[in-house]
Amino acid sequence: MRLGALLRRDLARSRRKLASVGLAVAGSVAVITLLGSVALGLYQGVVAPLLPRLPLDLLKVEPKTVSVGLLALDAGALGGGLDEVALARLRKLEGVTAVYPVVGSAFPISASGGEGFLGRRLRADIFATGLDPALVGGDVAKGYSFEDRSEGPIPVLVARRLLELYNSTVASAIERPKLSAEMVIGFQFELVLGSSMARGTPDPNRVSTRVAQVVGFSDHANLVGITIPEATLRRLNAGYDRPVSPLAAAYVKVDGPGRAGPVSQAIERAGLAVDETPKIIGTALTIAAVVLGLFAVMLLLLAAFGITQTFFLLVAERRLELAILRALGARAGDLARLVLWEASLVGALGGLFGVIVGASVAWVLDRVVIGQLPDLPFRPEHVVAFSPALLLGAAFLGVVAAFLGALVPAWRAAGANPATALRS
Amino acid sequence: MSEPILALTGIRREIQEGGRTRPILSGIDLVVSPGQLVALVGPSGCGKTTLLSVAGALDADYQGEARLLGQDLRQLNDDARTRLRNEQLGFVFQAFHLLEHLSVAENVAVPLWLRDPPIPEVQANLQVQARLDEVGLGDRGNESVRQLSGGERQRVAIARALVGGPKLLLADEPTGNLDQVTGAKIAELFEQIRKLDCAVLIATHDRSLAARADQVIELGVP
Ligand SMILES: Nc1ncnc2c1ncn2[C@@H]1O[C@H](COP(=O)(O)OP(=O)(O)O)[C@@H](O)[C@H]1O
Ligand SMILES: [Mg+2]
Repeated sequence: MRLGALLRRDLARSRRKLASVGLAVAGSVAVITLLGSVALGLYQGVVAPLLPRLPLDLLKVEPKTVSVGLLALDAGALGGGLDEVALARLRKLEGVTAVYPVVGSAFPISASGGEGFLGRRLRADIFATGLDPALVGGDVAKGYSFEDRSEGPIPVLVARRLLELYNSTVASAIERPKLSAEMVIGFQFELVLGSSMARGTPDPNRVSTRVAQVVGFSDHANLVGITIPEATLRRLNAGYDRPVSPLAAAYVKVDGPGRAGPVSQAIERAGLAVDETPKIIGTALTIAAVVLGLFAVMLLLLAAFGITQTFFLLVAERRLELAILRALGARAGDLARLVLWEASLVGALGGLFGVIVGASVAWVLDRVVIGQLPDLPFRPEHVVAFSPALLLGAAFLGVVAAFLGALVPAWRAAGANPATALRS
Repeated sequence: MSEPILALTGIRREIQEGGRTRPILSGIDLVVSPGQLVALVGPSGCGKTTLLSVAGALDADYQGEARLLGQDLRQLNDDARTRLRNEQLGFVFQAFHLLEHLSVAENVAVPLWLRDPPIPEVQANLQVQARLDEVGLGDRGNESVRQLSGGERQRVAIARALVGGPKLLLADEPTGNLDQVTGAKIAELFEQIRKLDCAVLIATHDRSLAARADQVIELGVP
């Protein structure tokens, strides 16, 4: 390198000053590495494993001021606020990857059956909602399908919590054994479409009977009824003079838990309600990310400021020397490059050292915290995690901070006037 | 006569002082031919250093015409003037202006380090050693310049000024900081330099140095 000889000797000469400002960069980078690895560790060890159970990237959107139960009861009468136009708007929101409507039924339904494990045949009004198989396909038991079929039993998903409720309270009350999921899956019963006790029989000519079969349990299934394929329910609704099915709610999938907050806000601005849990956690994650980011920026600004001060001092100390170099043939740009190279090397060394220190502290912290953790239901194996992107990124930020911090001193150095070499 | 190394015609230079302009140089003409030793004399404050700055492409803020090796300095941008200083000019300063953190040989090598494209290290080392031999410091290259006497420092500075093979060496009071005996030895060196096919322009108060010149230019107070 052309200026390498000068650069090496400059670095050697100022090693004390450069080492101390390098340590400042290292400190900032170390803290960023530590925080970053803890954030990554908590995300990978705690948040990510919880995601499938509490899908933070899936928002449930409902029309405002109407309870879920009521919607399921008579979604057809309401419809307000959530329609196909609203769905289209939801799909267009930034960060939304998919929208799954929860279709309501436009006709009364009752179900009968249950001799198998209830002991006697029951008949009860039932509410049905339709869901896209793409959303709940993972909940369907092996060997079963949740696709719309014109023949055979209608596939039914039941709320997982309904089974839990039955087992924890109902079973003992009616003196029946508890049920496992396996026992219920495959269970068939009869659906009477077009007639229920509460709503009677609006049109006796349009009452039909279909066999339904439980194919799985789902967290997205309707708690107070059954959930059938969206296409099946839309087809049945159309048979009851409702070509456009009522919508009870919609699931909105976003491209990460951090998106839940902003997307929730956008949805609420549009006049719809968002189920609270993922919204709160998503907002918390967003705030945590923003706070961490701002903190990192502050630390880097501090490091950059240290670099600026040190190099201002060095440039001021070397004013005459810089003028002499200009007289002997250094271009203005050469002097700026020398300063920027020096600062970048200090930043790189500081960054490297900072990453090593930060990662070491994080590793020790991980051992200590894991050792202290009580037996939790979701006991993480690690609370810190490292990724190449995190470590390289943190070191690189040190270089960037040093480079940016040295810009003004470099510009100052480039302004050295060669004529002053003769005057001093 | 061959083409002059340096041709200054009607050089004027003013400075701003407390809102008023003060003339420093008012119409200086000067020609330095190849191999010539030219002395610039006159009382303190008469503008010798100012004129060297113009001649040495260090100061672009003058009126009149300055031609160095046939090139009009006014037509060159800052980078081109810098290249010209590095490749065709050598500077010797009154206060020596060595870089204190470098060794003797490294100080001499600085102009070669700045050359673009770079000179291969082996060749650069040879050039440095040759110049150090010429100024009588051939075996002192690895010493720190901090230990040198004033005369030795000025020898290093002269070796540095000559290392790139300049056509013109500009010296501002090169013996001003030296005692008489040491100054006389430096003056002798300048005479040798002329034999290297390098013209020399010296601003000096030193009568014995001026006496060796082919041409003496007397600057008066403007
Ligand atoms: N950059 C400058 N700022 C202020 N005054 C200057 C500057 N350059 C030259 N001068 C003034 O110009 C005059 C000539 O200076 P100089 O060229 O150094 O003379 P000499 O070298 O003959 O002593 C002096 O009065 C000096 O104060
Ligand atoms: Mg002077």
